[in-house]
Amino acid sequence: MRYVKIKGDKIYEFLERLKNYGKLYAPVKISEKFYDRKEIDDVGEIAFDYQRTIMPAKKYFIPPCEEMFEIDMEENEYREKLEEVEPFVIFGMHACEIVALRILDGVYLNEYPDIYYERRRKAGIIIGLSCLPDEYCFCNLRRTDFVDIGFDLFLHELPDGYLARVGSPKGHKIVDENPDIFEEVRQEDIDAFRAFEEKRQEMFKFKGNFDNIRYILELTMQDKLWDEESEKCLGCGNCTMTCPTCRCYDVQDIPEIGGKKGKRIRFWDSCQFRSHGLVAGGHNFRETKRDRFLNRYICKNSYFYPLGTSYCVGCGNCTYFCPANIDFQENLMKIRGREVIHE
Amino acid sequence: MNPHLPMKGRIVKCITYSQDKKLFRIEANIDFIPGQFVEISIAGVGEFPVSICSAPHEKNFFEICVKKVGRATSYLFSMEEGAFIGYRGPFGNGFPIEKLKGEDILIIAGGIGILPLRSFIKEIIHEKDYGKIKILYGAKEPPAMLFRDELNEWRKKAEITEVFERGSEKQGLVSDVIAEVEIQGNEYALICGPNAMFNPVVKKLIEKGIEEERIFLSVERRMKCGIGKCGHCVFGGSYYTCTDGPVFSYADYKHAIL
Repeated sequence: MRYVKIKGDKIYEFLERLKNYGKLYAPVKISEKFYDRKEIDDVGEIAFDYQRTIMPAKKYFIPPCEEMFEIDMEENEYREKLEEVEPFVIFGMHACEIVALRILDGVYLNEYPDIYYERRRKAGIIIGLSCLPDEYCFCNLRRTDFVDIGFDLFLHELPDGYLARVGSPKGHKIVDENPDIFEEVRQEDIDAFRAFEEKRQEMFKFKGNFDNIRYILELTMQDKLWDEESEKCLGCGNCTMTCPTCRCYDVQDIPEIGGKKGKRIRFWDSCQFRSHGLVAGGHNFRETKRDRFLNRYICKNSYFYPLGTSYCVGCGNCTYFCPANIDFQENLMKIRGREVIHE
Repeated sequence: MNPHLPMKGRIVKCITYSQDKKLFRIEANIDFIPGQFVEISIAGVGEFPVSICSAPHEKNFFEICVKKVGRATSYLFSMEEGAFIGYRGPFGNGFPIEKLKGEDILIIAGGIGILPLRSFIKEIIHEKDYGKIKILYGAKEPPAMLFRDELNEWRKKAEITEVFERGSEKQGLVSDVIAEVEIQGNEYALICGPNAMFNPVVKKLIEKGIEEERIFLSVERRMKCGIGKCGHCVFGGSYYTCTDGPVFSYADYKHAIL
């Protein structure tokens, strides 16, 4: 792998240069408590020390709602309507979110590649950024705390700048075309990188891994914990909307007034909604809140075979954004038989 | 080729079986396996999955039979010959045809569960290189039984046992009449019907000595996209009914959680 350094005083110039490669999206602070990614005009706005954004980066690849086809209702025809996808750069993706994108690749680029996702994926440049965990993070337990592919550049914080790993031909191009921004990595940078990684590992709430959790979960599905926890659930779907790997979508035909034209749209759906398993005639394949609650736990903890990781990347978003204070990580810890002590 | 894009197909034949069941023949050139399904679109109304009920050797068209239950199926129900619908597919694995060649087969259908099985029955009649065929076919009452006009044709190749929940001499459920059918234990069983039918039927088949690996179920879920993405038909943590199924061996099905 190629390693370069960006000196601290060059970082804003680097961000400015990224705009040459496409629209720049990065995290900004949008309120006292929350961050979100948006299109950047003033690079001074960009937040480097954010933990999580309200919407995961999947929104740039699968928008919350998009038009798939124009419908000619008189001719009974669906017509493809593909607008040009402009190149864009996502700055500041954490390791877990980059792994999440690779999981989405496995779903959307399978034997039936999703043309909408694929076009956006090709147009996107991914610039990763190192982070320190808070109490919601458990990427270490999911083994997604460090990412080795899936980015173009990955920036690791140093006391006086960033150590950048170059992960793709696009990444090499950015480095090669901006020689005044990058410099060689020195011994003290390597030491600082090592120290940062060491400190980061120390900060995780729990050590170990969740490799066995799928099986323990399957074996404890009758546990009364699931009755209690699902009873708390409001069924709002925040957990799935903020999840970087949740990918369920629904499709609807929307006719225009006049009934001659219309559009077919798709939009994010959630397995926590009652409508998710409901079919015409009234049968629901996930009838109870408990069914739906467990469906998410089973889905997130099952393995995504191409990557050998679970569908959950341990970002903690589902817990952080849950209005009912349902703690995903803690519930998994509980069924694993670990007592959870709150400080 | 965008797998989300519906192709345009013309309805060339309709048969109304009852107040809420109607068959449509759609002009189209698709290759499929019995047990596969298509996604039917009614422009501006919506899309639904439905099993193909015609046989693969019948070229230039496929047939679907629809029960009027929701918005899109009701809309289709009102359509007649000459109208156009959208279709995508075929999707899903279908019945394990290669495995079934030369074997004795037990076909068990409850209600509209006959639809994917009709595709296979018609194929058997055409192909001839299968062993002994037995069909157990249950319906609510005699008028509700689909394809009654075809049973004589099927009888040329298969032994048929009919059973009705009401309105007939022989009253009961499909699982009730399994005992009457001569079963060797070396048959392959193909089952499709309401979810509640699976367990009692399978239990009796296992008692008769049929191995779990030889029992295949065609399973229903909400198969919205058909291509393993939208997530609605997921079950057992890692199965997509639309791409891994809809046909599962009982051995796989019974261990799938949820």
